[in-house]
Amino acid sequence: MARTNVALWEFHGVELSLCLNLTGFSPEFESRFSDGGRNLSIIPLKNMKITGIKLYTIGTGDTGARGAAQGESQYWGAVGRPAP
Amino acid sequence: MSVYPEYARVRSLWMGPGQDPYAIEIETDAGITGSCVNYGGGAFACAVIEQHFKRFLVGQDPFNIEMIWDQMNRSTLPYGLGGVTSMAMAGIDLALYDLVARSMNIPVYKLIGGKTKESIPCYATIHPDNVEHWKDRGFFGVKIAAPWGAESGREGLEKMEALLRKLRNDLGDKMEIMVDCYLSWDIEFTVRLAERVRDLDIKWFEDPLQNGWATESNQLLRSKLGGIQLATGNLEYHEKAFHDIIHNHATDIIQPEIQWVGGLTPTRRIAAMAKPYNMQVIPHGASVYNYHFVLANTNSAYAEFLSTGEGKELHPIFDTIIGEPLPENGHIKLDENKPGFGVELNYDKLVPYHCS
Repeated sequence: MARTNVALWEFHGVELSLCLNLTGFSPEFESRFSDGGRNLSIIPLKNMKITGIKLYTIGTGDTGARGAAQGESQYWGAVGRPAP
Repeated sequence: MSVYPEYARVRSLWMGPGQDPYAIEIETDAGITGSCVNYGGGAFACAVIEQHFKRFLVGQDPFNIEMIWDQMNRSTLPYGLGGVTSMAMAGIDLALYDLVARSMNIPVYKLIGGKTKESIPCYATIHPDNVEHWKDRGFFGVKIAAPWGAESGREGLEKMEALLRKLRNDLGDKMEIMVDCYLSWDIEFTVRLAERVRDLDIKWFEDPLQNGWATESNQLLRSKLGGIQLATGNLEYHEKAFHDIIHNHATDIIQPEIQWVGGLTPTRRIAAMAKPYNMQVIPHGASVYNYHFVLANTNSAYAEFLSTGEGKELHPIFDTIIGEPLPENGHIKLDENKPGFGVELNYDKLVPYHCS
């Protein structure tokens, strides 16, 4: 169903947008901040759907190197470093 | 693995790809995304998400966190019940909480109960060589890993006692001492060490027994530790296991690992179980996800901060996220103006996962 942003305001630095259904002028999505110019309130978006997932792994080094890079050496002692 | 000398000194010698980090981003048709970096699961968790869990997510309302979690849990009973599967569930669960909170433009802690304290007191997990760097920074205590355990016998007892005496001497009387036993002690070693260090005012022994020991063994051990508390739970995965530990008073401190146990959804259930027992719920490890939970939970008085990098300076735990809060004077404060978990993915450190 077609919709468009028909209004865009700044309220205390927060961007507000209201999305309307062009065929019926009824809100398809609620505004994140439905203040009507008076009271700032938080209304969750309605009818939001998950559309996709992105997955990532860590880019560099092997498992051991990553462990060391994330502080492993400080918890147990670096490779070759004597235990306390 | 600490019972095997060739692997005892450095965990990364034996850690496998299931303990690598991974990151997830969940997208919506409203243009709002939620994300999480999990320090467990790696490419294995990515495969579970891509090949199995994705079907429960795409087209679903991201607010339906409980149902999505239940579907992931039920659908993996034949092959899951913990480990990589649970780490995959955690990444999704935390990313959903991030997404929902962002859609309401509030931090996650406000979504799950709001503030129970203005800031979070932290203890620092450190190498004992670096005590001087953490002594006067506002942390209420330090935790060290035990380099010796049951396999070291009497010599190990003597070395552990000497290490703890030096630590107390270096630290003074004002800070707490905690010991992570790495699941490599047994009842005899733990009780005999407790007797030796009774005068050092140790706060807790963490995971002295491997998970899988009977609940009654932990009960017995707890009864023999005098004033030293028992802390455990980070390698338990199922709510039934936590119920067993909590209901049977088999620990003093319960430590679910939010990024391993399946996210905030099961952690909040565990906290509810612990509440009537007035048991402290101190999430294992250190992360922004822990901080939001601890800030919102009444029976979580403090949190762990893990020293990384050179182990001498405050350093973010993840270089894969931007905006991770660091302790100030030993306390974490969360910015109420940052929605979600208040952090962003650092794409420079991430590589897109492609299912092969």
